[in-house]
Amino acid sequence: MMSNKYFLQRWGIVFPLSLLIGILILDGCKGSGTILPNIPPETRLSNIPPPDTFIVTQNPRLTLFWVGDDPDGFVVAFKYRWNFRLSANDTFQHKPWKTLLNIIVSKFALIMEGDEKVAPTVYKYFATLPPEGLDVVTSDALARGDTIVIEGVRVYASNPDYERYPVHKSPNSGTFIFDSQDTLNPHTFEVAAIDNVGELDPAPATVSFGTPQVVPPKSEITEFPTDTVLVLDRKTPTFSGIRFAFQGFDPNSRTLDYQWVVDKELWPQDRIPWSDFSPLTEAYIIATDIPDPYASKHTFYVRARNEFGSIDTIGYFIRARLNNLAQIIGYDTIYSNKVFYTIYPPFQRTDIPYEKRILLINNSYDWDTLATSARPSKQMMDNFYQSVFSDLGKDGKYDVVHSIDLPNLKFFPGRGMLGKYSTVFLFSDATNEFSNHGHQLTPGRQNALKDYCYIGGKLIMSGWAQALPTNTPNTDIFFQAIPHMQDMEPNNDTDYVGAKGVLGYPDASLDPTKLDPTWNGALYRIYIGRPSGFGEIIYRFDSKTNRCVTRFGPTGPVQFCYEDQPVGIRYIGITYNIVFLGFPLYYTNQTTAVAVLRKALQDIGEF
Amino acid sequence: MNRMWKMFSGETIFLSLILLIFVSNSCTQYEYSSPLPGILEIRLKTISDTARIKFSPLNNFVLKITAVEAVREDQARVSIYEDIKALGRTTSIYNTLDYRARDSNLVIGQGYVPPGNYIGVNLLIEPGSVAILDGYRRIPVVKSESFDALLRFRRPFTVSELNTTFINVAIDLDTSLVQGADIYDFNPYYYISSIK
Repeated sequence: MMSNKYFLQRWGIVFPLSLLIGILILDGCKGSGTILPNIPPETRLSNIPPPDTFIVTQNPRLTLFWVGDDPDGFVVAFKYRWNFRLSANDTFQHKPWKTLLNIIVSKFALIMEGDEKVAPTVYKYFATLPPEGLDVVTSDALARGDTIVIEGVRVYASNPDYERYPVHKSPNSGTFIFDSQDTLNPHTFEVAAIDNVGELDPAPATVSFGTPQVVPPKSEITEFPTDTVLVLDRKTPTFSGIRFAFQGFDPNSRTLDYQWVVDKELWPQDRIPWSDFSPLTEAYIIATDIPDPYASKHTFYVRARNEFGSIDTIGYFIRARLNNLAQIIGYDTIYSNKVFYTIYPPFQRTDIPYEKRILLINNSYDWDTLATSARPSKQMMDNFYQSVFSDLGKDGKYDVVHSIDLPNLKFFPGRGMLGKYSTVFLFSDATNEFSNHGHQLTPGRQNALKDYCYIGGKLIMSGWAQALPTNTPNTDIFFQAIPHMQDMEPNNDTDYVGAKGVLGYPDASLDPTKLDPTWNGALYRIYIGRPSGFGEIIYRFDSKTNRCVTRFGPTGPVQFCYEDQPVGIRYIGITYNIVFLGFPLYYTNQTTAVAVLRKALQDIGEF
Repeated sequence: MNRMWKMFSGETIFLSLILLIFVSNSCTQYEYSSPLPGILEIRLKTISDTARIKFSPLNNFVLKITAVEAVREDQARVSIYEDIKALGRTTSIYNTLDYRARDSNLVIGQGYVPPGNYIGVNLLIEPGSVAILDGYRRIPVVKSESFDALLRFRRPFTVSELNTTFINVAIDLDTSLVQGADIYDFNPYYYISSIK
């Protein structure tokens, strides 16, 4: 039981104390006194020259640093702008104000649109994000350079992922490029802090300086076609366009981008279709880039633009030529345009009718005055195939040319000639005693054939010892890329007696009347191989002796037989077609040769 | 005897009463039942223009399937293994040019699933790096830039208790394998062709 004394002691203290506190609290809520006005923020630029000096920078790019303070709050953003004039006689203009939030969110420096009054709201949104920061979708949008909307205000990152040299990486600095068209370009940059109630510093920090005129960059074309090239009006899996490579020079600029055009003088001068500026240093031209795609002579122009927006419009520059001691021994004029030559293949044109025509290239060895039926001259070879094409009903629909490899005279059809024919038949059926054709299918000739195929040409090849490196250097690359035959290997014994046809091709056995008695009714150095890619086997090796050899592979000796190995390939592609006969068609009889070529021409779509 | 009875009677009666309460409560039948699962069988069907790529033992284009899932309408997903007795899924390789794929008989997944409404099937695939034609032509297969290994087949179907639902997922090779100069570009075109 609680005593009265204790009760009085206890409540005698507590009750009055509570009463006192209550009165104090009630009194405090009355709000007597006055609210202090907001003190505006202050802004300072750092690392700038004294106010009474005027400096001229080395180039129009300048990095400025600033800080802001607010005595009764904190700084939520900065606003900045600068002025410029286009010439000394022009009046000064101002760039629009920009507002940079005083916060870094997920590595992004953020620019907001709208006036300073909304800056505290936007700042608060970013400053009170959960510990994990921005959600992935928003963060990705900023990284892409997209604009997001926060509390009704548009916000974007100054330093998205694609921007190599952003203006802002932090809220307290910026790297600006100032307009500098005139010889000397004065500017005044001003920056003002915004505090947490949205009030702007009434006296922005300023700095004045001058920037020099921007020197345009220089441009040079480094790679361009030196031979006539074939062109189409579209890119295909095998024709990516005519390649040009170029580069630019500007010691002041961190970046360069380029635009190009073909035959700019032939386009309407008020609508020259320069390509969009791109940092890529190469261009791939197709016929639609050329005002007259069927003309042969063209000029490619390129021009570079530096990060200050200055474009190379001169089109050339002078470069000193130095000797080994770095002494100037002369000067070269480097142009940013190049003349090149094209042919639009007539068989690909849709604006004019085209009658199919075949080019026969006699690439065989010429036994000339020693010729026999086993060792034919070029003329005998011509006669044979002219007779075959006559039987095919192609009289008047083909032309014959000879490869020439004399000390003073060399000839092989170039792209310009090849491009006029819907089909090319290359035959190298006769060889000398060393299995040479007397004509080498040099890399240049291979490339001409390859380019012809790649723009939609059709090719038939027949020959003896075609893959012999002395006849075709870089054998593997060429045969794999064009005839689609790989791992080629000759029979070094005289045991080839014919080719067994597959996929509708007739058998092609040797004509005994065309064989030398010493050959024992068979040929050697006929290359077998295996198809690559979409290549299909159309002929298989017919061996006189069913000869097999022992090969040593990674797993030990392997028995390898020539019989039935692929010796002819057909490639019916989506852009070009080829029939490759890995044996000399001349050594079959004419009836067989006609049947073989008829099937080949049907397959490639020439019939 | 009487003394023993007196000694235990009170406790015994009390314990018995307690036990009776527990036992009687434990036998209470609640008003719900757990449904029995249905069976889902997923089969692969390949569509191919035989003038282009034939169904033949000499032709081969494989898909490696590492996951098969049925997706319920509430987005819950259930894994489907190779067969109904499988304890998990390992990567399985299927030849899309197999005759069984032409005839919709190539089972790629089978399993028990809760009955309910489903919105589709997910397959996680990886195409073979080459297609073999005629037994000797090896054509490199290159995945297109937009290739997504997760194929989302969407068509609603219902799995009911104790019944088997058959889903045929079709891959159209005519559209999926685009011929280049020397390669096939692979960008899968697929759909659910039938539900039974």
